[in-house]
Amino acid sequence: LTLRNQSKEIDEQKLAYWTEIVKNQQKYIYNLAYRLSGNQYEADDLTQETFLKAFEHLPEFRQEASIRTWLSRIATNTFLAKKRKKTAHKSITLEIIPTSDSSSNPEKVVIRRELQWCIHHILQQHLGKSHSVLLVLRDLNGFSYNEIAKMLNLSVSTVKSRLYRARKSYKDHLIKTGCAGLVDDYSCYCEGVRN
Amino acid sequence: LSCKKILPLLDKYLDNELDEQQKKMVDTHLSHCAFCKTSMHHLFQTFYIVNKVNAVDPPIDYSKLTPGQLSANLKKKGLI
Repeated sequence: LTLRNQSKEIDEQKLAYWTEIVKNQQKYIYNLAYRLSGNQYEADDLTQETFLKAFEHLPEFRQEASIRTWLSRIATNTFLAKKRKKTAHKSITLEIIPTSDSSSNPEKVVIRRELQWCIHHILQQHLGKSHSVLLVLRDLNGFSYNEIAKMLNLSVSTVKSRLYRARKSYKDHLIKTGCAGLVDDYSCYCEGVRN
Repeated sequence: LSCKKILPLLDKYLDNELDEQQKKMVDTHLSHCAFCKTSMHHLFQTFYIVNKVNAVDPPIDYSKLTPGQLSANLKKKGLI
C-alpha cells in the first residue's frame, strides 16, 4: 500500500511539474508551431502533440538544455516528421491571425499584417522545408547554431551553410514578390525599428 | 572591398561573429554601398519587425488540459 501511495505521489508530482511547464511555455511553443506550419490549426495540433510528448518523455529530460530548447526540439522534429509523411498532398493555407497589436496607427497595422503575410508566404510556399525551418529557428526564434545543430542532428557547419543559402533565397523572394517595398513603407511609420 | 566579398560576411556581422577588424571593414563598406545596405536591411528588418510584434496568443490554455485529454484529442484527429 505504501509503495502504491508513493507511486501515486510521484505521478502527481510529475503532472504538477508538467502543468507548470505547459503554463510557462505554451505561448512560446504555440508561436514556434505557428511559424513552422503557417497555419493556426496545425499550430494547435502541433502544440498539443509537443506537450503530450513532453509529458511522456519528461523523465528523459536531463536539463542539459533549457526546457524551452528541449520543447522546441520536440516541436521541430514532430513537425518535420509529419511533413515528410504528407509531402504528397500539400495543403498549406495561409491566414492572418490577430496579433496583439498595441499600435494605434491603422496604416502601420495594415502594413505589419501584410508583412506578416509575406513572410509566412515566402517561408511556406517559396522556400524548401529545410531552409524555412532554419530561418524560423535562427532568425525568428533566436536559437544558436549549436542548439539548431543538435535539434536537427546536423553539423554546425552544415547549419551555417544552409542558413546562408536560406537567407539568400528568402531575400531574393522578398524582392521578387514585392514585399521588400513593404519593409521600407513600414519603416517610415515605425517607432523604434532601426533603419 | 567588393560587394562579393562583403555579402558572405553580412550574416556573421548580424550574428556578432566578426572580429573588430572585419566588423570595421563591413561598416565602412555599408556606409558607402547602397546595394549591400539595402540587401541587409531587407533581410533583417522583416525578421526584426515580425519578432517584435508577432507574438500570437494560443487559442486555448493548454495547461488546463490533462495529458489524457491531449492524447484523446490527437487520436480523434488521427494524428497519433
